[in-house]
Amino acid sequence: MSFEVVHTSVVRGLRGESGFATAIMTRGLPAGLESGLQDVSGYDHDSARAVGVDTVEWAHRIVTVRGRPYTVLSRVAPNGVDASRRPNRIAHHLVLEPHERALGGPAWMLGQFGAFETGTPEVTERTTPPVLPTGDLPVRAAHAWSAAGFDAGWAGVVAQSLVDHPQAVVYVVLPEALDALPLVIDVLALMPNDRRWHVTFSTRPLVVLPHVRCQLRFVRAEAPGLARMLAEPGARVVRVERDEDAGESDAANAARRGQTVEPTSRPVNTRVNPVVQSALGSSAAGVREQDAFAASTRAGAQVPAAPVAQAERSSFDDSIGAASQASPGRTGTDLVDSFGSARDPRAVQDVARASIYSRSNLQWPPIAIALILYSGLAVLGAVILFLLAAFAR
Amino acid sequence: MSTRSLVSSVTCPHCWAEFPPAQVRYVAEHAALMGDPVLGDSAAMRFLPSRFDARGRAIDPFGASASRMACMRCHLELPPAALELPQAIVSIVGAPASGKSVMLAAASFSLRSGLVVDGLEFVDADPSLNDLTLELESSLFRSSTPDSPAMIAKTDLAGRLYRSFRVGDANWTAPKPQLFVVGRKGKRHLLCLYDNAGEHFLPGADAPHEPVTRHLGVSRALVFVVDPTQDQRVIERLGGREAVQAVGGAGSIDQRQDLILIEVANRVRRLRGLSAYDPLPFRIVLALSKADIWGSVTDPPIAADFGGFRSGQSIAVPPMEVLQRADATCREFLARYMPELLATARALDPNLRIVPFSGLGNPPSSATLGTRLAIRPRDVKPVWPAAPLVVALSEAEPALFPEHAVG
Repeated sequence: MSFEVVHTSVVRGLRGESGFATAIMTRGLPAGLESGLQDVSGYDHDSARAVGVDTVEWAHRIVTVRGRPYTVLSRVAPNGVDASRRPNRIAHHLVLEPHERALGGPAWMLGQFGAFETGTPEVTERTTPPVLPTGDLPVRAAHAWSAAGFDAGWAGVVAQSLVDHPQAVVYVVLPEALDALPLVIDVLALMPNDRRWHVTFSTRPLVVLPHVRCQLRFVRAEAPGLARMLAEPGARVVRVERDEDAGESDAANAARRGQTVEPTSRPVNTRVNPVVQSALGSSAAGVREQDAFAASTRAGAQVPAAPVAQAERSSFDDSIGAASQASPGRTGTDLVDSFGSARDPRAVQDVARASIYSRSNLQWPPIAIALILYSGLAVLGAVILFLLAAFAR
Repeated sequence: MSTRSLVSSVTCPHCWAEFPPAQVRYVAEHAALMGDPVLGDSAAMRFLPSRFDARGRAIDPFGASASRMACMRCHLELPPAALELPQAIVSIVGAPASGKSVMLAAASFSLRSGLVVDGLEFVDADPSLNDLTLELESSLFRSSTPDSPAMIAKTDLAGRLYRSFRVGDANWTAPKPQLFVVGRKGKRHLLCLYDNAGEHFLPGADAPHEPVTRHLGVSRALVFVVDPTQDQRVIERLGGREAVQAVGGAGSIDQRQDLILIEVANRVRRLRGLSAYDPLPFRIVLALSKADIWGSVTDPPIAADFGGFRSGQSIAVPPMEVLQRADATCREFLARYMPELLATARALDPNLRIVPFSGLGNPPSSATLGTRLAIRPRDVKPVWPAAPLVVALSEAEPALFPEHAVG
C-alpha cells in the first residue's frame, strides 16, 4: 500500500502543533517514516544561494528508516507565506511499494501524478492511499532537451553515465534555472525499464543525508560552492551549454534518434571468487546481471533474489581500490581526475587496467595441468624414496 | 612548535557526546579516502590516528597529513578551539516567529563590532560552521543593496541548519552549532549557540532520534525569547491584529508561550536527571523581542529611549542600572498583560532576569515585498540586540562580564 505525506507550515497540524507540521498523512504510515520524510522536506527560498536548477524540487529518493529502504517521490515548492507572513513551502511525498512503480520510471510518474498539493491544504488524515499513475514510457528522442535549447544528445550522455556507473553521483550542470523535470523524464526514457527505478534524482538538491540516496543532481552553473561540490571524489560531472554539441558518441546519437542507451564495455569484476564464478557462468550477461544486483542492493531496491553472493560488488568500487593499491605512483587526485570526465569512458577502463586480478586469469585448463604436474612430481618423489630405501638395505 | 593545552573533556557541540581529547577523530585528507560509516559516502573518512608528522598533524591511512578534527561519536567536524577552550553553551529558546534567528544574527553582528562591551573579543571559531548566521548578518546588517527589501526567513525543520549522521542502525539529526570564541579580561571561552526552529520547543516535539534540543541538557544559560505581540491581550492593547501586523508584529499567531517555557524546563530536568524539587541549573533570561512595537505601552514607555539609554549607540549593552530599570518596567508589563508567563518563569527561577530588545529596531513591512515580511537593510537599527546574550553569559561566566552579573 502506498502512502502520502504533506508537510508545510499550518496554524494547527495533524497533532495540534503550529508552524511546520504534517498537514496530510495516510493512515498506517510506517513508524519513523514521518520524521524521515521531514528530513527531505526543506526548501531554500534564497534563489541566489540555492544550488538546484529548478524552482520546484522534483525528487526520487531511497530513504532508509530503521534499516528499511523506502521509495519516495517528492515535490517540494514555495507556498506563499504562512500565518507569520514568512515564506512557506510545501512538501508532498509519495511512498511507493515495489509493485506500484510504473514502468515509465519515477520522473514520468512524478509528471503524471496530478494530485500534488500546491497550496496549504485542509489538515486531515487520509484513510485511502493515493491513486498512482500506471503505464509505460516508450523510448523516444530527447525533445525536452531540444525545447530547452540544448542538444538532445546531452540526455544520452547523462543516461550513459547513469547506466555505466550506477554507484556514482552524477551532477548535471546547467547554465541557468529552468524546469528540469522534463529533462529527467527524457533521460530515463532512454534507459531500459529495469534500470529506470535504480536512478534517484533531485532537481533542487539541498543537503546530502547519510540515510538518503540521491544519485542524479541537477545544479546551476552559477551556484555558490559548486566547485567544492563537484570535487567530490568519484562524482561524475556533465556540463551542459546551450551552444555546445554533445558529440557523436553512441549515447548522444541514441538520444537524438530515440534509441535505448546501452552500457558501454565495462571493466570486468576484479574480485576472484570461484564459487560465484561457477554460479554465474562466464558470460558478459552474467557480469551485467551482477552489476544490476549490486546497484539494487546499494540503492535498497527490492529485486528478486539472484544467485549472486552479496560480497560480489560492483566493479566500479573494486576498480578504485585495486587501482589505488596497484598504482602507488598515482595520487588520489589522479584517480579522481580519471573518474571526473563523464564524456570519456576510456578513463574508467584506464583505471581498470591497473587491476591486479581479472576474471580471465581464472581458467580451468592451467589449473588442471598444474595439478597433474604436481601429482606427477609427488609420485616420482615417492618412487625415488622407495628405491633409495631398497638400496640402503 | 608551540604547546597546546587541552581541556580534560570535550563536549561535542553537534551531538553533545563527552569524550577525552585523545579520542578525537581526524578527517582524512587523501581524496581516495571517501566514505564514512557514520556520515555516508560523500564525507571523507574519519579515523583515530596512530601516526603524526613533525608538526603534530595526523597522518591518514594513505599518507596525507590531516589537521581537521571530528567528534568520536557523530564524526562531525570540530574546530580546534573545541579541544582547548572551555565551552559556554547557551540555549536560545522561544515560540515560532518569536525572533530567535534575528536576535542571534543581530547579537553576533553587534558583538563582532567591538562596540557592545568594552574589551570584548568575539570572533568566529570556524566561519564555515557559522555560514548561516553570516548569511543572515549579510542580508540584514551589511547588505550591498541596502535599499532592496530583505526577506525575513522562517527557520525550517530540515535542510542546511541541520546535520545528519548514523549511529548503529539509527539516523540522528542535530542542529548546526554557531561557534564563537569569546574573550575578555584574559579569559576565553568557546561560545556555542543554536538556531532552532520554534516548532522544536513545542510540547511533544522532542523526537528520540532528532535530538535537536538536547543542548538543553548541557547548556550553561537559557535565553527564552518572548514575543509579546503574539499575546491576545497585548494585541488588543496595541489596537488589534491588523494594527499589530501593520507594524510587523506577529498578530495572527496565538501561542501559549508559558507552555513552551514549561516544556523547556521539563526537558532540562529530564535530560539532566533533576528532580522536581531541584532548581534549574542556570538562570533564565527572558528576552522580550520586538520592543520597538510594544514598548510604547509599558509604564514608563521604554520604546522612547529604552530605559533612558539610547544616545546613538543603540547596539551597546547598557550599564547595570539601566538594565535593572528596564527589568523592573518589563516585569510590570508582563504582570499586567502576560501574568501566567511571568508566574511560570518566577516559579522556575525566582531570580530570573528580563531584558527587552529589538533585533531590527524598525518594524518590517509587508508592503515592501508583496505579502511577505521584509525590511530594507538601511532601516535596520537594532537596539540592545546583544543584551540578552551578554546578561545570560554574565550569569554563566561572571568572570567575563562582572559588571553585568547580579551579586
